[in-house]
Amino acid sequence: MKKRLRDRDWQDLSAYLDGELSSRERARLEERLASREDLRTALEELRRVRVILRSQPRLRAPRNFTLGPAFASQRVRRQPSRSLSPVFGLVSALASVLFILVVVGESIFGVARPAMAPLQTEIQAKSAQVEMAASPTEVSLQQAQEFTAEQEAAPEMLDQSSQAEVTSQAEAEVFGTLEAPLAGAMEYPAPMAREYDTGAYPPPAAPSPPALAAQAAQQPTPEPTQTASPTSEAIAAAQRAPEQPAMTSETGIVQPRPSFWNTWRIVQFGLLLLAILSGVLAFTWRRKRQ
Amino acid sequence: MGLIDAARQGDLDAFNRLVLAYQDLVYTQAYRMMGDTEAAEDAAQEAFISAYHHLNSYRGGSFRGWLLRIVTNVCYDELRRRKRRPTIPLEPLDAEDEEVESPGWLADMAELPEESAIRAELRRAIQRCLDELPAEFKAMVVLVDIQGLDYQEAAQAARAPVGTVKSRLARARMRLRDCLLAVWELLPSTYRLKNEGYE
Repeated sequence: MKKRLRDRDWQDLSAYLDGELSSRERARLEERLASREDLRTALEELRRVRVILRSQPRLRAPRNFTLGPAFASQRVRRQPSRSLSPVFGLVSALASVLFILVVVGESIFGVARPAMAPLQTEIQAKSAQVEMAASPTEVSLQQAQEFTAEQEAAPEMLDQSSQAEVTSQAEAEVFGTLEAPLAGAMEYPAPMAREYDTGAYPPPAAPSPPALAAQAAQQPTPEPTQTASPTSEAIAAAQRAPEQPAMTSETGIVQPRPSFWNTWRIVQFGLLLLAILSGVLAFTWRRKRQ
Repeated sequence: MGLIDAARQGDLDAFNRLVLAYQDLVYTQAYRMMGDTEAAEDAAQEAFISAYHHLNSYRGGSFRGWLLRIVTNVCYDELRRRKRRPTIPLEPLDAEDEEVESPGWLADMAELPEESAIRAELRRAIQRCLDELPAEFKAMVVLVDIQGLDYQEAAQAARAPVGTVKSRLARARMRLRDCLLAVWELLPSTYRLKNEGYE
């Protein structure tokens, strides 16, 4: 009875006839052939099939298939598209590199919360100027303007929550508020600024940095020594001046939590999409040409 | 390679010299795939026209493998269009169920006048057996066993991995066993004797 061979057996026997087995596969098959008659029979049958097929000569073409002169004008097609596949590949590679750089850059700058510290130092220095200034109104207004300019000049260094925090702290420095909220700067009420009282407000609340709180507490002290009219003018000026930082704080407060879709995210998404699309187009174009 | 480069530059004469060098190869493939001379001529001509237009897609390697890929694909397309129609009509039978020599068969014999009757019968018998195979298996056994390509070239021509070549070829030969072994005796005796006793 003929034992039914597996497809793999037929494949090995066929490749063995053509000399397409590795030395290890060949040795293993020869070992099996020595012990199994059904394999030897199948091998002989395949060999005869191969012999019959290879006995056939190559046929002669019944006529010539050369192309006429009309084909000389029909030149090779698709030559322009030859350059498109590498172009897409290059675009994909560049987009991928830029994407990686943007992600790395955002990670570096995103971790850079200590970048606030130089600003804080600067704010402290400016608050020290307040103590030494003759006209608190002028210093307040000047400092508010400078601080606003600083915020506008370096938005990339601080995200919006940080800006709100610094803004509120700067306000505590300049105007001396009852409370100087940090991350809760959105809760900083504008009327608080108008409650600027040169002599009677309590020290800042706990969230304030101790240095800022101490200076805020100290801040009103020299001012009572000023004349009465500058004080009232200072109050009026302080009521006006906070508008700029209040606007700034409002700018920071308006977006209390940074949106996921900021500029960097959009750039990242765009680069990623470009890299993927270009890669797919390059692959598809190359397969199509083949 | 010089002819190929010249042809790529637009030299039609260079391309026609390539046609003359490879047309037997291409026609044999087309004939074995299609099973009749008229369809084989059409397929061969279409293959050469396509090769001329797509010369820039040839990137080195076996040029004959590249040409055979084109003609095989042309044949695949035509066979798909004709899949509901038999590729070669069976010989009509007379009242005693004996085969009748039809003019078509005689015409085939006339195609190769130098052939002896036995060789012609062998050729037709082999073609009948090949026509029973699915197109992919038929292409593979023709490429390797009739055209003489090795597995690598056949893989290029069929646009398939070597493993697929191995598998399809083995299955094609396996299916051809019963049909082809019946014509073993038609082989010239010297040929049979030369190939006996390999085990």
